[in-house]
Amino acid sequence: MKGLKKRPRMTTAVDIYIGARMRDRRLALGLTQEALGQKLGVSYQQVQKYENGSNRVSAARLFEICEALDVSLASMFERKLRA
Amino acid sequence: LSKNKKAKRAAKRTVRSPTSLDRHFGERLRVRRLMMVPKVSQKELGEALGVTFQQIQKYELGANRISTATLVRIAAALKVDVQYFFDELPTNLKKNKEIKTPALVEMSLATHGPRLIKAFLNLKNDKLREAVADLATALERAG
Repeated sequence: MKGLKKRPRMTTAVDIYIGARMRDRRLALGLTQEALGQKLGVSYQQVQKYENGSNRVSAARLFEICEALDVSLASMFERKLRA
Repeated sequence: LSKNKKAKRAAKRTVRSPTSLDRHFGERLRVRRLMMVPKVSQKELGEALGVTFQQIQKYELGANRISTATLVRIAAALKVDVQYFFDELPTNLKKNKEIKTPALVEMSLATHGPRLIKAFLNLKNDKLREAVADLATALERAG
């Protein structure tokens, strides 16, 4: 493990990956960003930012996203991630 | 992003407080860290992640939100699957409800708890485990 110094607010490959998984699943359910946003209590713009990987996804938020999209956490990490 | 945009954004951002989920993650983190053999100190874990031990402390207390990316790195450092942090959550959990701490977590955080768990599990047979449980029960009654 490398002790990489990171600026805390930076998004990472993990956020981009999670965002892509999130978009796939949302589209599979036929939900709009707006509809998903309502479930999560955030704006569609925020959903867009998560999906694009331009905002960090907190672990607590990820849990809510999994519930809203009715998927297991594992499915959001289908490929093994090493960050 | 231009510097200007970033500054604007930072000004607009309201600080979201950590949820009871973050407390749950924190407890899972602490338990796992202390159960590693040998134990991993907050300082060592911090060094592996490039943060201070104070930051690890804040995560463990649930005082700071943990990002998914950070959780992935913590999981790797502690050699567990990310799923570990989401285990033992009540299924109907809603973000602001209190989480009842599982007995095992309480146990791991109690003084001498980890030592007792380790020794108990290393006992050679059920007879010995029974003796320990009987002793604990007797002491509890003696109050």
